[in-house]
Amino acid sequence: MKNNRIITAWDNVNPSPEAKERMLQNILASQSTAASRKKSPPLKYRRALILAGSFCVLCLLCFPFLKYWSSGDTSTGTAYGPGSSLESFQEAGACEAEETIEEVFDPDPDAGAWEGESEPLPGREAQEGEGLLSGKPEEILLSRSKGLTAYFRDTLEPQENADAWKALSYNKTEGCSSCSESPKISYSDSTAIIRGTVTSLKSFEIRREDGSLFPSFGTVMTILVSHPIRGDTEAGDAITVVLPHAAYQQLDTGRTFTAPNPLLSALLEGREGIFLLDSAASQKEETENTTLYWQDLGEYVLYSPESLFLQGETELLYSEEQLPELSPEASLEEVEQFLKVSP
Amino acid sequence: MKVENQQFLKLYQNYADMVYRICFSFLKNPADTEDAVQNTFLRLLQAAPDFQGAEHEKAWLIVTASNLCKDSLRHWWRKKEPLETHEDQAPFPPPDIDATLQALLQLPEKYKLPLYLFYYEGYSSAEISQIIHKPASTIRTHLQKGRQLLRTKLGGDFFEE
Repeated sequence: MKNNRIITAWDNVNPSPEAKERMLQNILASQSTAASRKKSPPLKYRRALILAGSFCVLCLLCFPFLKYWSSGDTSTGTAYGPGSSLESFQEAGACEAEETIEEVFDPDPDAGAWEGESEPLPGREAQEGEGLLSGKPEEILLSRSKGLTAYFRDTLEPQENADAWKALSYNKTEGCSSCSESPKISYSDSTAIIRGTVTSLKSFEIRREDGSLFPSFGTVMTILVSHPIRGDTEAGDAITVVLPHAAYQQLDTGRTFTAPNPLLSALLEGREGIFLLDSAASQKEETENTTLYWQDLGEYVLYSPESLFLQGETELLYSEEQLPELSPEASLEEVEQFLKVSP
Repeated sequence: MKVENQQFLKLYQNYADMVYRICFSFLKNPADTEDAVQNTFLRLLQAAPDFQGAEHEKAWLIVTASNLCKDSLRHWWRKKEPLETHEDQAPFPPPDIDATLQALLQLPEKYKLPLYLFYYEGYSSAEISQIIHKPASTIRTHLQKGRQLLRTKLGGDFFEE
């Protein structure tokens, strides 16, 4: 059965002839690249074996000294093995380029990198106030981060998509399907789990200090903790949580970005939920010239949509596809059980 | 029947629009949609499936496109590259989004594809069930819930025309 209004609506969504041609050329180019890669002859086994062997020997020779470099401790020459010392190591002349190695073996285990980050386009400078989110920017003081500026954008309106959640009703399921014996969700020892209510949401935008185009968007949400399930928070605490993505969805313009997971659109002030949070203190993102410490923006970070369980109007809002064991009819108490933690 | 070059071009001409609409329904912006369409057809070239007929080709593309889009959505959280980054490289004119399309795009993922296949492509619920490997009863429920949501958004007489 066809519906004229739906047909008319979808008829407007078509790639232009140029876009179709562009996509086709890209597909064929990718295909030929993949094909030529397949055709290139592999390294001769013998040569590869010699290279691999040399690499292993080099690794074995250098391994005892790595501890020394990574700790930065120069006070004890015997820290990296019985009978060895810094002096004897230096005399032996092995691995002379200490500086280079320090670069490779970053002593900070938390070092990360921007994902999806791209270089600014040549000749494309950011304009004052330019961004996907509208409103007068309010600068955020980034005390530790380097090479970046950040602004709050507080005029972003909750999108109507939230209403879709209110009207949702899911298939009924029998029994307590939420009480899974083997929840697929995983979290680290340091993950805090809290139950609380969202009291505020503020979107922010981050740019490179040099003004080059590098917008990255996120949301800082404040949660009033009603029930600490795991971690150091207490009931009555108001904690700030950074979402590395803007919470609201905008569909109406070509300059739009979207928050494809509708769970984000369901984050509204006054909504109660259970949140799995990582401490922001140990989280940072680095590029060549910039470092962003999440702690500059909030106390905790919520990275994954599986870490979010919201009480909707009639049902639980959560990452259904990733957590099929959990039923939309589950209560927050059942979620708590599901997470296998003691209150 | 393996996919040869000429056949690929024919498939692309026949189904690029359909794949584009399916991907747009998930990703909601032209730039990501183009990427997903390219990936879908690239997958077609690389997998070179042995199709049983025209309907099989179409069903394969529908399922592959929707799966690739779902995969892409799963990885969105850490993705920090907005559309603006590419706006000087390639023009991505937005489609005309009317109230109906906006309501369709706002539907939960599980309702979108069945509604599209049912009301636009003209498949029956039994055929949709075979294509996306879900029970026909589930498809009917999804269609019903999707219709309810559209009625809520667009008015009670939306499906009465």
